[in-house]
Amino acid sequence: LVEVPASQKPLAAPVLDEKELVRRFTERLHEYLKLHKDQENSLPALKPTEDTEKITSHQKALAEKIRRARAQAQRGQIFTPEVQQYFIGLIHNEFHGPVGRETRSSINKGEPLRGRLGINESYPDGVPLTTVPPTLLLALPKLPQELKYGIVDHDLILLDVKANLVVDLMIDVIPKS
Amino acid sequence: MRRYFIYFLIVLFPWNGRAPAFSRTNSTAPPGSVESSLPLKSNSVRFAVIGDNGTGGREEYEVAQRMTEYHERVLFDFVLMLGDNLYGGSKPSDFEDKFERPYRSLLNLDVKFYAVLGNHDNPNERFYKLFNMGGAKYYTFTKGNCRFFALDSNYFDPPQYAWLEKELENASSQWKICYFHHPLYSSGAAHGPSLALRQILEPLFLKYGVNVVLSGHDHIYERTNPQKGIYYFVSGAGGQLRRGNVRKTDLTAASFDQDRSFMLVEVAEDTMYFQTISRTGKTVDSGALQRIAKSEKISALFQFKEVGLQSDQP
Repeated sequence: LVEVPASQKPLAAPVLDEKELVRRFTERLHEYLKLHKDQENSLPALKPTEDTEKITSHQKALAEKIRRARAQAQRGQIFTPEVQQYFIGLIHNEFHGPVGRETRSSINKGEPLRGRLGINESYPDGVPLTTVPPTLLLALPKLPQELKYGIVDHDLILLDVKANLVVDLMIDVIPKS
Repeated sequence: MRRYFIYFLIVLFPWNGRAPAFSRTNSTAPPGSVESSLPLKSNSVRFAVIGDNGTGGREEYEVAQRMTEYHERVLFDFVLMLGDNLYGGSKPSDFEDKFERPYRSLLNLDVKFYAVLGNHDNPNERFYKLFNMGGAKYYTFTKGNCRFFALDSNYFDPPQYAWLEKELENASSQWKICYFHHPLYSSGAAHGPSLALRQILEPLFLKYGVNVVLSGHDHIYERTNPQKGIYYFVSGAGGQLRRGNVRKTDLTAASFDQDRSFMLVEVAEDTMYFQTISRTGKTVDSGALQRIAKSEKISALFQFKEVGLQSDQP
């Protein structure tokens, strides 16, 4: 976990039709998903097991393979500037709407992780996850089950669940309390 | 009005935390001689409930030991785990120190544990066979006349919503029991209720006739007065504890925040019996709840509006 100097404003982005924007976003998610599956298929399948070493080592091995395959990955490849602008609006509605104060308060009460994670970095083991408000999840574009949105301090991250790895992030988009 | 009370809550001991006639409040049972207030009827569904247990600390082991003692008497078949199953990491040693060792005697007796994920849990815990999640973050199973819905409240996204709605709609069991980490109703000062989650889940629970909801997250025990006809419990002190953290309001029917605790539950036909036991073996709450049919819940909701939540006045 590294402290990184704060805000980089999203780049100016051309206005895209919402449907088209979500379609392109989903396309990029599926490209990532293909990479994820290719890497995972090269490992022994993880099935429910009593052998906890298998669970831990599968997560580590998958993360390592994805890291190598995405060594050149950069912030904004999936959360492109257009997507960021779109998401910022949705997040603003959630945090400043009727339940906004409650949302901010519940995030602060949830022992939030402070600082910033980078692309290809693992979510730290043993650190509690900040719950993403379900009302926000209903508003954001749906993700395949291998991925989830996460909140780390003021950043929104895209997390590979099984590899426990940051795939992309949008910085300083979660309002300060 | 009287008919309403009879329908809405036929038996509920104790109101406002007062001890029911058959509870063993303030008694400390020596190991090996525990008694239970549960009726132990034949063919009933019996289970235990723990939340926020996975500390690996001495108190978790002591609660587990108490559960084993009660198992001798109650013979519960399974345990619901309300999340935060492993604090501080999910290395093999964490599974061993925070789950396998404390609950070894119960595991050896073939007691099954059904876990949900808390905010301290690594999602890959779902692949741990002894948590019986089958690799899924949310799942459902049936025991006798009860259908259990184990939810992931860390990440309640549209696919989970659609799944839950379909499963609730198709469930024909008498009892629908949901459990997940973050409480919809709680008087815990540390976290309190998750209002955003309540906004999403409560309409589904009402629409499809959920009877009971169990959660953790706040490190206390609380039984609420029924909310819109649904019974809510917070049982988040299976290992952790926030002493003195309950801020009692009209919501609270009974609470305990002075020590760790776990619940024993027995469902027999239309009645759910429960007993909440502290780490030291004290029964801190017990009683019996009558199943409220869906149609009664809707009329009760209107009744509540009329009478202004007077149901906590017996």
